[in-house]
Amino acid sequence: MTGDIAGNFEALHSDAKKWAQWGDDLSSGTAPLTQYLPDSAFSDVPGAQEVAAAFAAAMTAFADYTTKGVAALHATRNAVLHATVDMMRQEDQTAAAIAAIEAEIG
Amino acid sequence: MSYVDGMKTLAYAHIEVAEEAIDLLESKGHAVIRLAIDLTPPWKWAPGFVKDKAADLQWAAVKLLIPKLRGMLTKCRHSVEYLGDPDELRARAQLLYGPATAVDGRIQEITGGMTPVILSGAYELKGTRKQAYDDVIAYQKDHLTAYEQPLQDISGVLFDVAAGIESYYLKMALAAIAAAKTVTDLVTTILGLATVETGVGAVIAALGIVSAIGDVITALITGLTTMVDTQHDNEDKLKKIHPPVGWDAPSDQLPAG
Repeated sequence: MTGDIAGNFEALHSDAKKWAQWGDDLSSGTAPLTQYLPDSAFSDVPGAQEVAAAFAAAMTAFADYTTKGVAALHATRNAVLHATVDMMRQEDQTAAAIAAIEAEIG
Repeated sequence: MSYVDGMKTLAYAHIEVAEEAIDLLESKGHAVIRLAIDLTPPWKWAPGFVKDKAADLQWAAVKLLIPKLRGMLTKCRHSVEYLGDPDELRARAQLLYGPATAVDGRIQEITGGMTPVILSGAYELKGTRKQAYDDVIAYQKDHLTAYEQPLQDISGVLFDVAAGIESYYLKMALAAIAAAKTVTDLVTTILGLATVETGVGAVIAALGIVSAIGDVITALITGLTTMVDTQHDNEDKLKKIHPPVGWDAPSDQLPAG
């Protein structure tokens, strides 16, 4: 290994869990973006349905953005897990312990 | 429940009364006019067939009004049906952005914990790997923070739409109530001829009220036009709101130095 990483691998592992949790939090916290809002809430005045459609399109765009964001946060989790494995190898941790961390990589 | 629901109920009640008045006019109008002619001094002693003819002529004039009045009430009813749900819109707006809102609040919670100090307190990354990790943290925070302004904008539009509906509704309901009341008064005036001594000329005078109803209908149309313009503004605002383009997943590896 390169020696560019040192310290408590469990702390780094804990970081990885945080990234995973943030991904889940982002997914659940933004759930209202995808909640149904009836077009009728915008009224039936001419033009109101276009407003409803524009609102739905904006929400869809943010839902897509969120999907990518959740994936990005989980990918960060994987990157941190890889770094954790590197640290464990530097510290000569057991193969079983390393394998357990590797199994978490998505 | 928004106060527009109460306005709707009130407007409907007035429209229904007016519709019943027109029904009454349609079923009893001819007989009432004939009775009025019987009781009116200049006509009192005329032969029956002359009075019948006079009643037919007057009734023909009044009858022409009926579909017009019904059409006006239909317009009133239709304008009041454009309800919408301001409370639902406001609830959604608050859910997206504002003090302690679900979405904005949760995102702030996430970014609050996303600092290099918190993340790297018990280990040490060096060189390229440290820089890569710091860059990833900053990148993710930037993309999370990017929710804030658009959510605030969308929330603002939803509040505007809710306020617009209520403003529109107030105008529409008041106009519809005024129109319905005028129709009811008109019918009452016509059917009330049996008790007055002013003669069938009052029928013609009553017809003048129709122009007043026309003014109310014009107000309805003007209010609707204003609302449509507002809707276009809101649509344009929403169409301009987008999340940032792209939110790429970082590499699976933080590059080693």
